Amino acid sequence: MEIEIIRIIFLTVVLFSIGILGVLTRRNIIVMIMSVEIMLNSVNLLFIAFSRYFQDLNGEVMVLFVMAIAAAEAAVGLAIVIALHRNYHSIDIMDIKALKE
Amino acid sequence: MNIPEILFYSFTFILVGSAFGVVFHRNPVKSAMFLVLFFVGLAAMYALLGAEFMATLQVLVYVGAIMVLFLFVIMLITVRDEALLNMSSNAGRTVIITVLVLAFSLQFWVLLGGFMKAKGEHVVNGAAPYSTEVMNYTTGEKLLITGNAEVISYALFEKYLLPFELISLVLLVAVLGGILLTKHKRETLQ
Repeated sequence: MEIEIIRIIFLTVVLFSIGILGVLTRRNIIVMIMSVEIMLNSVNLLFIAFSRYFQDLNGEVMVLFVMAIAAAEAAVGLAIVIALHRNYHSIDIMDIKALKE
Repeated sequence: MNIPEILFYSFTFILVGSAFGVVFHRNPVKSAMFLVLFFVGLAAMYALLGAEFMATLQVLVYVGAIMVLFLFVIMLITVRDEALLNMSSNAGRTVIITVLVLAFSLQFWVLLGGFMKAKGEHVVNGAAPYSTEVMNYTTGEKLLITGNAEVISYALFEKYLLPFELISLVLLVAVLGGILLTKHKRETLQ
């Protein structure tokens, strides 16, 4: 049951980069929030890997807190999406430019 | 190649593939389905690393709660397929992203040079359990606990009690914020 930590670090970096790519290139707000979830989860994986590597459970407790914050973030973010859709009838970020005008 | 390595590469393949599916699929419903696959694959990876409690929580919280929330919102609002941004049409942005990715890769490569040389030394052992010594407050005797969930719950309710309660407050505020943001304004008010 032994896995080299360098591979896990590479995996988390790749996943985090894919999440950043999603936030930068997509225009649908829901998919952007999903990409943020991917980024949070890749950091969780890194927390757990180092927690197992150092045999220190503080990292796993931190993952619990990150999960709770991610749930709160998803709830508020999706509520904002619904409010935006009610006012603009669109969830495309290109259509939301009220502060520009 | 032993069995944990084969499992690790399978889960890596699933994770990277489903993450690309989330980011590049044009239909948000299918993106959400890929995200479910991503979360389940991540739970499998946690179990492989020896964090069974976190794997359970990952499935319960993310697949059970957060994804249902996402799918409900997708159901509530009309979603149409999105034309993906054409990267070549925006030369400046493409150059900026490419340079940033190259700089980040270079920095990462330099940073991990030490790790790369010592191959086979820095390993995560998924089978080694945590252990902690706790005091039974009624009898006063000390006992050693080793289970994953037990050790984490002792840490959570002794060392991290205040952050734990604050997290519940954060969740309450998030619930109230969600209700407030999605509530219709009544027109009867003058």
